[in-house]
Amino acid sequence: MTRALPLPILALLLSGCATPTAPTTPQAPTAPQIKLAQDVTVLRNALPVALTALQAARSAGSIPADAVTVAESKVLVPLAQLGKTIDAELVSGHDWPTQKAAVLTVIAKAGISAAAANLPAQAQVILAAVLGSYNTIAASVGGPQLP
Amino acid sequence: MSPLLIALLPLIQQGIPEVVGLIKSLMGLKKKYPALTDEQIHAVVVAATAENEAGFDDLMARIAADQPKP
Repeated sequence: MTRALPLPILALLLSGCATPTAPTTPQAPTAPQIKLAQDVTVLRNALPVALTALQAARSAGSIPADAVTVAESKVLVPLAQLGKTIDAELVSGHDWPTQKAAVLTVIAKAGISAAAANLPAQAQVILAAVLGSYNTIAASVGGPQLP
Repeated sequence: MSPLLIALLPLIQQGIPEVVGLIKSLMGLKKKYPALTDEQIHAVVVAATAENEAGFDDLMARIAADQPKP
């Protein structure tokens, strides 16, 4: 005569019989041109926020006026020009390898790193978001990122 | 390039909201149906970049106005 399995052991055995789930289709990767265009849009949205914050900090006396002048002219303006140049390349109709190489060249010439490194600490904090956007853009084309 | 895209391209570049919305819906389609053509990808990119130039120009104008005069 066979013995019935104790209830706890039966529950333990049944718990291992999970209901099979349907395999999910992995999400297709976004085309690199679309992702780069979206990244540039993020930069476009972040720049005026940084500008407003820098000017407010200057008014409050927490960042020297000349540091704000440098941040505007040596970081924000080059970033805006970089964004415009990248957008122009993205709508050029060139193939992606050509676009990627062109964007990489523009990034290398922008010279953002040196300018940002010499700013006061509080200015660098304010610029963190735009510099993060820059890094995202640089990463998407295999370019050097800011520390 | 498809006739539809040729017709849409000027509207996309003008940033017509309804057209931009149409193109954004294509972005969702890209994830669901990954075989978008190059023309479709180009249309999406044009839509995404349509508003950026004005934004960048506006920022540079604000900075130019804020910079100390020599």
